[in-house]
Amino acid sequence: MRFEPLTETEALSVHDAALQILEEVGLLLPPSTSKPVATRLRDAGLAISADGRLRLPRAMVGAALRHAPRRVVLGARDARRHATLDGTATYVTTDGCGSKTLDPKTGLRRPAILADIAASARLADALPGFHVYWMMVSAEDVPLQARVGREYLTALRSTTKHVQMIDVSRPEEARLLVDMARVLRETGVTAEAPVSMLISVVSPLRLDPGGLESALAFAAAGLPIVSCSMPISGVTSPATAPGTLLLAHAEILGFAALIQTLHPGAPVIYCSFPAFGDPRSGITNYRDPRRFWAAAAATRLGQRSGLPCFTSGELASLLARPDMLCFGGLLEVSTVLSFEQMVIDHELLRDWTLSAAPQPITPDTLALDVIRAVGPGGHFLTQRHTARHIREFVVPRFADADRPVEPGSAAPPVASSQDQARSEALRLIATHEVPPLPSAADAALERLVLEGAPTHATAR
Amino acid sequence: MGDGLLFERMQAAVTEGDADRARALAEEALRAGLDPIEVLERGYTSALRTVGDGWARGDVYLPEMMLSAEAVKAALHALTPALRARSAPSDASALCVLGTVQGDIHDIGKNIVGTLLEAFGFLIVDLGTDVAPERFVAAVRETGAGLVGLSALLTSTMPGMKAVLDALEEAGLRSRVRVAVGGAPITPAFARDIGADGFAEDGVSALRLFQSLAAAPAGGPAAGTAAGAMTGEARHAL
Repeated sequence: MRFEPLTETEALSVHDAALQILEEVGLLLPPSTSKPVATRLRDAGLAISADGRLRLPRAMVGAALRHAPRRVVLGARDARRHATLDGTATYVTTDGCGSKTLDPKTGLRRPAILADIAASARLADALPGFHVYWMMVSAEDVPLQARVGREYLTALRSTTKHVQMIDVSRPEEARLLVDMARVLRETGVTAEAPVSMLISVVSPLRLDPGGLESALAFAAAGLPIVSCSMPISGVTSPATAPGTLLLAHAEILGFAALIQTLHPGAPVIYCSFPAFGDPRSGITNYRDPRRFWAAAAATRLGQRSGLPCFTSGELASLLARPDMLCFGGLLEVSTVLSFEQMVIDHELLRDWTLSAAPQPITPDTLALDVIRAVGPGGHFLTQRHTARHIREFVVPRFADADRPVEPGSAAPPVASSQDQARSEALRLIATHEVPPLPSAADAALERLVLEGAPTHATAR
Repeated sequence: MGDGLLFERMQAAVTEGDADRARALAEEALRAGLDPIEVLERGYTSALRTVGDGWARGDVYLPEMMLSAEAVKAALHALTPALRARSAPSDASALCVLGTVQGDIHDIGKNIVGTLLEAFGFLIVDLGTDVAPERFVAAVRETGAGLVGLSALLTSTMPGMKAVLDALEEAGLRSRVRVAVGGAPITPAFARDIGADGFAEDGVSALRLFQSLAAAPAGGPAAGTAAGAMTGEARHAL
């Protein structure tokens, strides 16, 4: 089953317009861009105008992107859990990256802490529908300069799935992650890239100099980079879904082309998270239903560009069959981690995945013989065929747990969906076992995190 | 083979919903001279209770429980002659007339209840669907049944339940039968309003209800006391 949000003609026109934007308008390279990076760009033949615009000729964009691999592997500690992005499956990541947590004991929001990363990574490890752990919150109890390494190590200890970092905008932190990845490879924890990183172009059309430098550090090490755009329609992108789609496409291609120009063949993932502004406040409104068309259309554009595709959204996005889908576990426009929401969203994901799956037509599934055997007026409850298939049925555990109780009924009160999901989340966090990192790797990683970034900056 | 192992195989046949094996094992037990009452309890109904507990927890699905009940029924069929030789036929309190009320041809709920009741030793007189009040009256009079179960799926046919109760009253039979009602639109309040002795919202709670009604047959404690006790919590302890 496929959802076709764009015709080929429409996709071509959007792509052509994006190339025009890159060629004529260009990306803004802020003055704070480091001199070595600016020099490398100039050496690669890219002209930076006096106003900091980096205009990318369409031929250069096309040539650069041809180097990008279609297949990218996100390595996991457990090799069975690698996410192989090759167009044959959709891998789901948890949502990120919030700054608060809905405390499961008090029910109140509080600043997120490192223990929340450990708990959410453990929970994501236990829930099979999540394939990649996106850093869900920023640990506010860890000093900023030590945060990224500590967060990554904490997540790594709590899940055997791939861990993807979000917007690492300090190059020294990216270099620390590169060193940690090297340790993981050298100690045999995984042969594939154990960490990847999402870097956003700041809409409209502005490069984050730190993010660019971080991405180049990853590219040099062969670690996957997610080239991401998160436009907000009506605020940081045009007030139409196609205009938002176009701007995001230009930003993603431009950033990916820069990486490929400097590091041909580096693994890059096309990532579009289109959103709409709330017309009353201008803040992000994830509930505008056009967002799902935009996410699905973006997936189609990414697929045409020959890159693995990553988007957010719901069923419509899933039907477009991206390589990665971000969904689950955060509330209030992805700012508040909720453990119970992770459980509820995980159930929704299962339902959407099944909704998008075609049902095979075979003699057994058509069940003509069974219909004959039961005949008019009977029932199918005691047919062997029913018993064989009944375990394929889907029963909501959390999304539909509320049942009205008639006044005066002796039926016991029923816990709310939220309560049941919270209980399940806490049970899994308390009981799910994650194999520890090999001690040598763990100790080496701990040393790297303690030493901090400056050492690694000089090592380059 | 020890008796314990035989009982375990019977229990497995029930759990797996294998009626043929359940019947064959019952026949084997009779040939070995085992007490049919002990065979029924230790080999079959105890296993069906376990399946029912699983259903109440949500671990067992309805078709699986129905197949288990069918397996017990098959075993019961094989054991019945020996059981009759050991004891008097079932009394009126275990004899139940079931039917979907007039104007309503839906019967799946009634059939589920009938299957479970039979598996637990009730004798069922199933009148089918679209049953007029006078046919319920005639069946009670002819069989001497002490229990009546009325089913309806449609709000438009719910009044048919009251018509059956009125007909039993007019025939002078109401005081000697316990009447339970059920079906998607039926509520405990409706059951109380029409003067039924109980309401059940699903098959297992219906079984619990009829077991409790059979234990306190008409002429015993006041009718209606079971109405509350058989709704929600009945699902948790088959």
